[in-house]
Amino acid sequence: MTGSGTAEGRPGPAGRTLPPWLWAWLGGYLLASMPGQISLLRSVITTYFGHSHLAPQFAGFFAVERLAIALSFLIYAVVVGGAVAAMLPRLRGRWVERRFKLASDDRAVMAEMQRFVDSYDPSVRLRVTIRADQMARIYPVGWRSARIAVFRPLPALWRSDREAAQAVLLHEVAHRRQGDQLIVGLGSPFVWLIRIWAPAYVLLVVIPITIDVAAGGGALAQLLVLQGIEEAAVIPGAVFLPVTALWLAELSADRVAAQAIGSGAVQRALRATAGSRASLAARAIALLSHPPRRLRLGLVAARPAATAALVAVWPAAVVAWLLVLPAGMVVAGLLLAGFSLGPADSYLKAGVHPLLVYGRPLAIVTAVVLLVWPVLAAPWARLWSPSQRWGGRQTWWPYLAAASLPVGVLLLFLVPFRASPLATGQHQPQGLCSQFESWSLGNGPADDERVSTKLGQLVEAGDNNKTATAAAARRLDGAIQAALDNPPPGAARSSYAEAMADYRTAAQDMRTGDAAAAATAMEDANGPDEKVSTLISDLAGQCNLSG
Amino acid sequence: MMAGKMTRPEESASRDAVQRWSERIAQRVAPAEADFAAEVGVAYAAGGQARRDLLPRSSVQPGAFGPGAYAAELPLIFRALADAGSALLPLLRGSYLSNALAAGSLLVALRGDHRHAQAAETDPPTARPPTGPEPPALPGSERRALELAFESLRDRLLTAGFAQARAGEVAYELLEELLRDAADAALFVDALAAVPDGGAPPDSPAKARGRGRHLRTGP
Repeated sequence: MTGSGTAEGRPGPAGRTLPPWLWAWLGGYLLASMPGQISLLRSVITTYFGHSHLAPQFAGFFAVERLAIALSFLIYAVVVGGAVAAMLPRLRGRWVERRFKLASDDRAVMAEMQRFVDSYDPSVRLRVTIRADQMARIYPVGWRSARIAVFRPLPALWRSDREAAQAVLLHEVAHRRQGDQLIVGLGSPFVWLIRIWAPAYVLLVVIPITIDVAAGGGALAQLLVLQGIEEAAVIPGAVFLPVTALWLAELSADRVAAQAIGSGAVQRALRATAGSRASLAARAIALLSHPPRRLRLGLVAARPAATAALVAVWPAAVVAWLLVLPAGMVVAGLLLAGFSLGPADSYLKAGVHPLLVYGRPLAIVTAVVLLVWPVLAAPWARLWSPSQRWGGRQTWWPYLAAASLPVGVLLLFLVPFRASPLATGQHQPQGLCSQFESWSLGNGPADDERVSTKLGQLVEAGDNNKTATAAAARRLDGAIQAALDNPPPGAARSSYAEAMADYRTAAQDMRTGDAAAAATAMEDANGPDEKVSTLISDLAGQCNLSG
Repeated sequence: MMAGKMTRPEESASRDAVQRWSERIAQRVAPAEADFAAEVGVAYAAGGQARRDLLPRSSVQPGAFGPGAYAAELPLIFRALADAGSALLPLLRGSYLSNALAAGSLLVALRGDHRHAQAAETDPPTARPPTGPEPPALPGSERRALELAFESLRDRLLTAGFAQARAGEVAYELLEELLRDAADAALFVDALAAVPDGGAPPDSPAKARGRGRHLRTGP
């Protein structure tokens, strides 16, 4: 059948495999951080969508903020859609087969391909479509069952270069072995999300902010620019790890196929399936879900030791995501936008600490998976397909070596927490940590949130209706007083009082009809408010609370 | 698989012709695409989304296993046949081809023209060796119709992205295949041309024929 030396019905050669990092990302980051993210989104929605009438000077700001929230909604909606699709593979399978008009087929070429797939994983069935825009893609039809969609070009490739066509099929079977098909593959909402974020960010954040600033900017133009930069830093941070996981899943599937049929066949398949039709923008977006073809060609040809190097890529990416990416993105963005290092430093601290708190579960999952993978690899593959015939014995050293990265990062994070004098609160019940715990578990955050809500209502009342404005100002005063009666502990307290004083000034200005002065007072409050956020985040991290 | 409903004998005959000829054409000029040629022909003739699905899209993921150049020729060949319908159908339906001897003469003439064309492309004019017997003398109108059909097909294949030599070769082989059973081939070309690009599938065979006639009256 082939000249590859891989006879039908015989297992492929032994080799190292990469852990399922897509699953690690899903479990270690997305699910761990989802409750906090949803809570944050809910409070933001209350602030920006709870007003039907806005003063003209704030209209642009609110419109832009609402679009940014729409972007967040889009991302979360697709993530939830992806999670639902992963939990309902049968439904996704039916949708994929209807969407791509996939059907079973018994003609000779399909029977030949099915026999080849059977020799590696008899549980994978082929379905064919006459569509011509791809070669082959795996998709789930159940928790532990999957099919490969064969597009019309693959039978043509089968006729002209059988080994290359076999390499394409083996790549898809390897995805099944890795358990990727529930998260990626044909009809995956996750891949769609990752591919649309950049255009969505430009459409819903960059363009509205540019228009608002170009049109005069209103009272809160600078805040808007800061918001845009923060969004720009957050979204790549959110996309970096899943993209890395997607790339590694593809590279790993290539390596598995190369181990089974030879690197030459995989390289021919990669070259045969290249196209020159895509635009530069399409190529850039495609990089979000697939590694560049040159990288795939190079790594397929690399020696088996390259898999050991690939093992270290994910833990290195986690370290970069926790330590390097936030700093680089936020500081560079702020400096480019003309801000001084002061706010850059403030934003950096504000951005890094939540990431450290949210990222710790992922670092732990990464370390654990690496340490147990040599033992877990075979059961993991059998979990998805008990009948598949693959060889493979994992050696320990690459995984142990790679695990040193997340373990080192975890130790690095733990040292300051233990050494910090703030953490002595564990031994002194009346210490700063216990005060912060009381504040954050009590009414502190709610009092703070109430000020934001009442401030929004005051802005909504505007200067059109004096009675409503006066009433809203009174309510804001009451909320400010409650917040001042219950301030956060420690260094945040003075900045908190400063911010509340500025809000109180804004309320008085609105009451006297001076909207411009009110806007200035609100801008003045931004600095201390940001400082409060930073200090509270610091404190939450040092006291091992999520904040 | 992928078989649609056949509601009328006329549609059934047309569909049979499309399936039969699609396989013949594929085996002759694109053998790697022969496995699904019948379905491709039927989908092309249906027009609309079914036809658009046959062609690679610009949204293909560049880093992934894309279609490359595989399975790309057959739909383009069908499009060339449909677009060249106004030149092909008069030839295929002409009274001259009603007897087998005439069809044979036309094939010999076509082969002779093709050899001359190939030699002209590869050899200097002064050094061209004899390439075989001269084509038989044909009525002027038939030769002109043959030349028109060949040029029309070749030009459309060139426009579709075929290389110069490949376009000439495919156009010649298509004509040779179609002329072997001209009357039946006319049904096939007619069915391919029934729905224009961007058009919806016909509501009835009568409408489809109307659209086909409209196409054939073009330049």
